[in-house]
Amino acid sequence: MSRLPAGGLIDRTTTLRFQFDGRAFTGHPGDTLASALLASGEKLFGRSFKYHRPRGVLAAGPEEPNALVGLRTGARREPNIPATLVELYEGLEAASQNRYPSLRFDLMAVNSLLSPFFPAGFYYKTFMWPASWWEKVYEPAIRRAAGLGRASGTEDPDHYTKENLFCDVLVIGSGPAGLAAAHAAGRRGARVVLCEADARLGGRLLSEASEIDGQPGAQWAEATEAALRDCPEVKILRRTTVFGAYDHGTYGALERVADHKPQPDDHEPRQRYWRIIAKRAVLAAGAIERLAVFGGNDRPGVMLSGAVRSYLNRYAVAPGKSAIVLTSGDDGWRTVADLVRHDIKVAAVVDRRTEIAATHEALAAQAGAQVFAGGRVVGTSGSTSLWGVDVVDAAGERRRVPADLLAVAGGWNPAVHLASHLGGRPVWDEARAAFLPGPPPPGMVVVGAAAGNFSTAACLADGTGAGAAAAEDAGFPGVAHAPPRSNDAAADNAKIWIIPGARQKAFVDLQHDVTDKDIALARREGFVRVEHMKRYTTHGMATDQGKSGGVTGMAVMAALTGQSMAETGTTMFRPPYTPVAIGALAGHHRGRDFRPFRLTPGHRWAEEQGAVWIETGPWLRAQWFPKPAETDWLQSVTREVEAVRNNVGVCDVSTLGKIEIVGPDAGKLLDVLYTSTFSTLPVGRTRYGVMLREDGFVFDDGTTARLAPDRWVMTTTTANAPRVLQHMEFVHQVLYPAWRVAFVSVTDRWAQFAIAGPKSRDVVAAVLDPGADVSDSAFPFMAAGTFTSLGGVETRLFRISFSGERAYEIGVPAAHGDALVRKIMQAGAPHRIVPYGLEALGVMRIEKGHPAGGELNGQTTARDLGMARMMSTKKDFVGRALAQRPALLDPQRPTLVGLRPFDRAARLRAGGHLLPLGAPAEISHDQGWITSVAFSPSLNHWMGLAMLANGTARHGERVRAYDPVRDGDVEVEVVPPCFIDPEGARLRG
Amino acid sequence: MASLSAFAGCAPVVPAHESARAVPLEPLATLSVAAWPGQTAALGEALHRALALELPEAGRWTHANGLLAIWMGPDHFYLQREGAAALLPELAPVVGDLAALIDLTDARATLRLTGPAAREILAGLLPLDLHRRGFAPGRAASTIAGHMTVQLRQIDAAPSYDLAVGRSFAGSLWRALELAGAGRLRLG
Repeated sequence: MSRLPAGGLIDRTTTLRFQFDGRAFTGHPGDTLASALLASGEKLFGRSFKYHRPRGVLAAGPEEPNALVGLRTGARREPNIPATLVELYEGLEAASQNRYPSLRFDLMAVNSLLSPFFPAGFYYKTFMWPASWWEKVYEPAIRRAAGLGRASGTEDPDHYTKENLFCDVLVIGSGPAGLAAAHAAGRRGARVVLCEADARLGGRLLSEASEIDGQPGAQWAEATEAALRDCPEVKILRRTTVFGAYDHGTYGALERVADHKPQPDDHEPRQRYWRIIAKRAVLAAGAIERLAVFGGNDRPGVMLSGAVRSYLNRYAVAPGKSAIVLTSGDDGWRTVADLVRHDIKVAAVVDRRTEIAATHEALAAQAGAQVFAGGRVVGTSGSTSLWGVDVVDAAGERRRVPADLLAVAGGWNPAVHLASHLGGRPVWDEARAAFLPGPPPPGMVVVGAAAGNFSTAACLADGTGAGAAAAEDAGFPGVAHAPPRSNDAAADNAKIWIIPGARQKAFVDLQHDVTDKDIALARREGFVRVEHMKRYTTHGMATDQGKSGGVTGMAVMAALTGQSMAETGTTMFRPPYTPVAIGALAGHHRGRDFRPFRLTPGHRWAEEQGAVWIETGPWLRAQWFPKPAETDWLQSVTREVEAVRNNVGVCDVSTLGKIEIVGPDAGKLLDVLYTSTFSTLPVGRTRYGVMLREDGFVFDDGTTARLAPDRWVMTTTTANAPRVLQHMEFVHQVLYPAWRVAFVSVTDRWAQFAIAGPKSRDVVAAVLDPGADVSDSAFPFMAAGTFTSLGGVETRLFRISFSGERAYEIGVPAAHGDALVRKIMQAGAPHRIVPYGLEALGVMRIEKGHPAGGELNGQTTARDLGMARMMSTKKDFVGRALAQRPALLDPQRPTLVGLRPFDRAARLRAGGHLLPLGAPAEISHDQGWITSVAFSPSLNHWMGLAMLANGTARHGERVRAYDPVRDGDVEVEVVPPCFIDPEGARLRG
Repeated sequence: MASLSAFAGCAPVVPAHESARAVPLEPLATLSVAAWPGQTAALGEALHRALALELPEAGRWTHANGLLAIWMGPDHFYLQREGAAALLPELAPVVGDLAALIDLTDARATLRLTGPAAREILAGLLPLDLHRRGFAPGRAASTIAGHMTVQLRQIDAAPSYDLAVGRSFAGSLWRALELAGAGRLRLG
């Protein structure tokens, strides 16, 4: 066992049992999966991405590239989780990844021997031919061999929520800088949100032996947390990673609400996506220790020096029995001191510097450690764990020093990610050997180690000042408080980058198995710029996004080209900082809750009638109403059409857009919106109109009725209702703001039903309250009026028809819609009324040649649709000028025609292309396409509407309807688009 | 005159630990009042003279004698009253030639959400800052909730809020509240 006898921020009184690869282990609350496994003596955690090399734990935080596990089982299984981030819980089950058949004996490790054949770009170069094999053969095979874990493949049983959070000051990170900032802002009364990715506040204070205000750092953090809880407007979000900075002070954060439990409690989300809107933000994200590149730097037992301190101080785990520390600055010596304090043997210290401070020499002497000043680590030995380290001393002599832990102190990279999310490019600072934040997003200030101020004292001063200033900016002035005092001295920043002389693989990106040789190859092949190098080698493109090796890779390229770090630069960072589950971004919006539905007032009634529903935009509409004996939709639809043509039917048309327009200038507005003149429409009449877009193409169509001299009601298509209203707002507010006209959508106010068929007048007369006169003389075709029904309920009646039959649309306030349709069914019973749905409506409008969605597709003009005569020449209207463009007047443009199959038994399909008879099926012969088809019960054969080049002049001609997608090739006859009652006798009665 | 609630199809929800409640408000007579250009002040005076009703400033609502006025946009207001009696015939003589009146009764479905958890539940639904420092009784806003346009009013400091959507969205608003208030919101 490697658990230290005392210390650490773990609860030794409680034991947690868990499993890794089916084996049983124990740990304590406060442990991560990584620390508990290390405490149990485990060193091997996984196999690498490409070469299947054995890997252990490198880090103690989100930068971990090696120890990725599959967590949980069944539907909750999730892949690629860093063991360093997994809080231990009772019953946890984890499995290693990317190994077969087992972690210790992995057959795919042969890839490592074949590695000379797998350089960067190998796949692109090798599997180029034949191109068609890439998707079918190569990619699936490569994906099986490489890659990481697998998702469960089943529906996630947990739910996720999204919430909005507003604050004056957002503090990102709760290390010394973040805590100081939050406290400085919170004590002034500002609304502060403090986000900490860890379960515990304190940041590096939890991992270091430093003291603040005379108490251990972890204890000071606890006391400060208590002080923050006393500030009424401070909200502390633990287990919450701020993953992205967006415009206008918006930040995305992910709270892992229940990730530390086997499963969420009742009604508890698994994760919560916080959308934080902050007036000011303080980025105190700290720094991430960086990888050093040397031979065998990926062997289990090679660990970042700061991570060694984390395991020692926070988790009370000895990550080895005999350690070597590789450093080039004072930070590595802190690890030496902590190892010594915890009675762990330090076999050697390899300091890249040739001069070692006397205090360090004394420490080494106390530890009995051999010091290699100016030495190098050139290799590691061992198998699935570290046995020894190959050191070359300053004189060039090589020797192997036995050790099972190599702590590497290669310097720290400020976590500048969020500061650069809006494009601020990090700037190289030679003195601090780090990329520092460039211009941060507006309202953000970067403090502490994230700004390159590495000492605790600097962090505390930075944070205190920034927190007070942010609160002041947000409107909370107050007295300045002195920052807390810490005992640590100014900190330097080491840099090792790459140690020459490696005889083993030297990794720059551990998660993607990118080596120094891959970067050299990228350079040879011309991918010198870091952005190119990154993409060519995939360096920094794994799930860890190069948190440990990113900048090191830039340094390796800089060494190859001889350029400075400043000249070489760095790649940019984009959200998310750490991976975010898609489920968390979706929140509740999945499955049936993906988006809201709109239901008509007649919905409940239609459901009782057995309606088959279809989504049209947000609306649910009845497609047809099957009778028990009917087995095929066409049977139901045909019955519904025949009922309307012979007797009467009722259809819910409440979804059509309805806009009420009021004011003395309403007629003028309609004249501008529609191609034809509306201002002359008498009160009590309805007119059909077509609207164009500014570019002259048809936008929408519908009817508008004049109910009173200054009160009109317009209908739009269901799909375009919101856009028509928007268009009207534009025309009114921008083009004619002085006109006295007002309009609002009344779609939701009116439940409206079409009653269509030869018997419709009788039904309408029976539905209206007694005394209403709907005789043809009082209420002719295209009449509109206000009546009452249902015993005094305001009722609007329009005599308009989409089916070609005598028809009415009757509307009542929505609360009465259910009662109205039941009344209609009751009144229609003697006439054998049937409800009909969207399909029957479609069949009848195709029989009548009325354009709808397929024809009003945004690419057709009024001329194309045979409505040239509706384009008034006496007034201006939106789209008038551009509709006159020569190309739009070209007689060869496709125009609306009807089609019927020459062989009347043949079926037509929408989408088929029209070709001259005998012409080969090539694009050069394409003359148009079929827009809508239906089986006409009245004609007893299929029919279609189509857009055909110069179609109006070609009635009687035969063409070929070619549909290669569904093997359709039918000879069709071109006919006028109206198949039934072209004179309109039926609708006038 | 049997009328059907916009929420008729919505099943009541009883949470394990109730800390907020939402109930449908209906019927509500609603009238859209859009002042003609330059007539907003005159409209305000007319309403004040006849009904003692002050027109609200931007982002606010007012009430007098059982009548509510909600700011909807520049020169645009909704007047509301509980009950089914139509407002238009009553208001037309008061408003005269100062504004356009359009009856919107039944066009909207309204829920009243009240209770200590109300603010927290709305944080999961609306992108608005409802902190007591910024949003208090008397405030009104038009916003988006779960892809629906929602009008929000704060009624009191309980806090209580009215949430209004287009009537056809009633079921979806109900469902969105059920999800946002899981475990703590009583619906119906």
